[in-house]
Formats: sequence, C-alpha cells, structure tokens
Amino acid sequence: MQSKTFPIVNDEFVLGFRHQGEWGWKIAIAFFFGELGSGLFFVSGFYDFTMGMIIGWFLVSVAKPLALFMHLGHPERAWRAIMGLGHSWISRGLLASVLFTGFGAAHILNLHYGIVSGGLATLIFVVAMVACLVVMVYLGFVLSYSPSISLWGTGILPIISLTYALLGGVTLVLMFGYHTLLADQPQVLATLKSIELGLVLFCGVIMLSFLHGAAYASEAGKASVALLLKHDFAKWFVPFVLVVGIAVTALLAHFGPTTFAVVLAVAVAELIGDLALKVLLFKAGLYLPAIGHSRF
Amino acid sequence: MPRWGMLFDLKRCIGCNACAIACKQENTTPTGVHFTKTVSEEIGTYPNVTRAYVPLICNHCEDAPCERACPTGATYTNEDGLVLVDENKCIGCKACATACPYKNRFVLTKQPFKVGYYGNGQTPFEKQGYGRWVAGTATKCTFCHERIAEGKDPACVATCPTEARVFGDLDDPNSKLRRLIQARKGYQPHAEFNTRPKVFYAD
Repeated sequence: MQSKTFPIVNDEFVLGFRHQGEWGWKIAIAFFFGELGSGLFFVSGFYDFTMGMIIGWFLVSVAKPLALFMHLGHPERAWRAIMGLGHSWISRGLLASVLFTGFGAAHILNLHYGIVSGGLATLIFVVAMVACLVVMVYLGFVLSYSPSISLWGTGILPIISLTYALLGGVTLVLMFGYHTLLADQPQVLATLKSIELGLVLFCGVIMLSFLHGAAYASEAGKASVALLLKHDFAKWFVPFVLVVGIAVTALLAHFGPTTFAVVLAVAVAELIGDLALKVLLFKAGLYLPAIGHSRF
Repeated sequence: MPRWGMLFDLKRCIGCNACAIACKQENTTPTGVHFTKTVSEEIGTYPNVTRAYVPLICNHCEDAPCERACPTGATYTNEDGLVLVDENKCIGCKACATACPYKNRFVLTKQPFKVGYYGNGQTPFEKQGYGRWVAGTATKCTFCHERIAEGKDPACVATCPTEARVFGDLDDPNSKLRRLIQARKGYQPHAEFNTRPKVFYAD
C-alpha cells in the first residue's frame, strides 16, 4: 500500500492517481434503468401489480439494452457477452437479464391471460424473480474487478445496488399504484410506506459506511471520497445524492402526508439521488499509481 | 514453453521515453494509446528535490483481472503466458480497461483513425500500420509477440539506451532476467492485489 498522496493526473507522463474514464454516463444510465426496472418488477411481483411489472420489464429489457448498445464499440457482437459465464459478472448479469426478459414477460402474460397454472406458473414466477434479483445486484460485482479503484472494490456495492433497486421499486409502486392497487388496499400502502422509510434510512447508513470504507482503503480511495465530498464532484454529490436522494426523501417519506403529490415528490427525489450516485460512482473512480518512489 | 517476463531497473531508467517511441514505431498505435511509457515523479521539496522515473507496461498478469472481467473471452492468455486480445471477439464494452489495476488497457476509438496524428488525415506511416487495428475494440501491449517469435526482444527493450529493461524467460533460472530479479530483489507492482504480474521492478 502506498503511503504518499499523489496528484490526480490524466494522460500526462507523470506519476499520480488516474481517473477512470472508460465507463461513463451511458453505463450509469444503463444500470440505473436496470436496477430501477428490476426493483419495480420485484416489488410489483409480490402484489401482482401488472402495471409495475410491465414498466419494470420495459426498463430492464428495452431501456437498459439501448443504453448499453450506445456504450459498446461493437454492439452487433453483443451476444458474445454471454460467453464468459465462468468468470465474468457481465456475462452472468446478461444471462440473468435474458432469463428475466423471457420469464418476466411470460409471468406478466400468464397473469393477464391465465395460460398456465399450478407448479408451472410458480416456476415461471420464481425464475423471473431470481433473475430479477441478480439484475439488481450484479453492477456491484462488475465493479469489484479492479482492486486498484478502491471506491469500487468493496463488498458493500452489491448491497447498495440492491438497496437502491428495492427503494426505487417501492417508491415507483407507490407512485404508479396510488390510484389503482393502493386505493383498494390501504394496508399495502402502509406497509410499503414503512418499507420505503426503512430502505431510505438504510441507504443513509450504508452510504456512510461506503464512503468511510473507501476513504480508509487506500490513498486513491481517500482521494475519490475527497472528490465526492470536498472537491470537483461535491457540488453534485452532496446536494443530489445526500440531501435530495436521502435526507429529503426520508423527511418526505416520514413526515409528508400520504397524498399523491408527496408520493410523487418522494419518487422524484429518490430517483434523482439514485441516478446522481450512479453517474458519480463512475466519475470519481481513481486508480492507484502502478508504483511510486515514495516506497523508499 | 517459456514464461516471458520483464524487469525494470529503476536505477538505470533516465526517462528518455525512447521505449514509448519504439513501441509506437513498432505497433503504429494511434494518438492517446501508449502500450508503454515512462512517467516521472518529483520527490521532496526545494531545495532537496529530485526527479525519478517509472516505466509502465502491461504486466501480463498470471491472474489477469482484465481476462476475468472480459465477458466474451476476447482477452486470453496464450501458451507463452502472454495476455492478448482477439479483436474479432471484442465487443468494446471496456470492462478490461476498467478492471486493469495498472491502467494499461486501451480502447480504440474511431476519431484518431479519421484525423491521424496531426489532425489533417493519416500520414503514410499511419496508413501502413493502421490495418492491424479494429476501431471500437480493446487493445494492449503484446510484449511484441511477433518479434519474440523471431527470437528478438520487444521493441522497447531493444531500443532502451541504458538497458533499464531486461526481457527473458521467468522459468529459466539462468536467464539474465531471473538472475537480476533474485540479485536485486525484484518486486512486482501491487503484489498485494494477487494478480501475479510478470513484470518486476528493481530499485
């Protein structure tokens, strides 16, 4: 572990921390859609809320691939990404997405038309939900490959992905289902509101843990956290991720009246925080220098 | 089969970057792609200040994170232990580039091929060499495997005026590389990452 703080450099022939620049806003948006959609489907699945499942399926199976295709250098070869199941979390995530697309659509159609029943219907539902769960968490595993980017190389990231996905799912079910599903079932509304508040608070705790862990993992992690809290990206991270995404969301969810306007405001605030976190996670990634003479 | 590796003698490196130029000449890499280069570091504060140099190159790790991250199998390790890229399998997802802890992976964008080194089209040198690249795919140092196959050293090693780069077979106990690693207590960059690099540094 290097003990010296280096400057942040780009392509200069100077030793220093280097920005991760290969993955940017397109990947961030892709994973935002993927996690949000899978979270929405997952939560909707427990209440047979068809509208939520359809929107969730669309986000995972249409919006996310479109964003990913924009990112790929050769999108026409994208099918090849399934070849690395034995070692790559991108491949595993893709397999889960494909399974989700097929079984998720089958479950929605079955709910509507009642094509099959009994064990087969349960199997379709279970496979769709398990695939959904993998789609929710795999970004965290994808980002953990580079031990040099301390901000990413943490076991907390899959939990953050899962938490934000479930939170997004709950807030959107509350929003889309306010006049339909929840109008008839006030007990579901109360349950989802409690889960929402719990997830927001958990987001706050896990965000602190994430930043604390990164800051003490290495000098690059410390520099990344400084970028997020003090320097270049603080003007985005603090107001959007911490204030709007967590504090405002928590306050509205707890103290706000259960009106559609408040439910909508909570959903918007939460989504802003989620998207900002995804984008900034990629922006603030810093590599350690390969070696430094500071070891002398 | 040999297990090719390299050692950088930091006492000998003068930061001339002849290695970077030789690599560019050998591989015709486009703008912004440097398979190898030497970066500098200022140490100390005035008046006790000095400048040191650190050569960088793909470490051809035995447990390469770039290979593990690659979803298509485009990044692979050949029988000589060299980590290479099959550009026909690469989808340009850049997972390898983010996974490499040493930031030694590159993705070829279309723009440099269009505008050339000087922004006014490709030079004759670029025209003769760009045929090997596929825009939108990942690429990396190959330890000049075509030269190795001919019994030559990689271009950066052959051109280094101070012999700060030593290339050889890590499995051969009598190779100059192996003897230098043992004698000079060569160390791997970020050994704590368990990537088992085949590039060593000697202070």
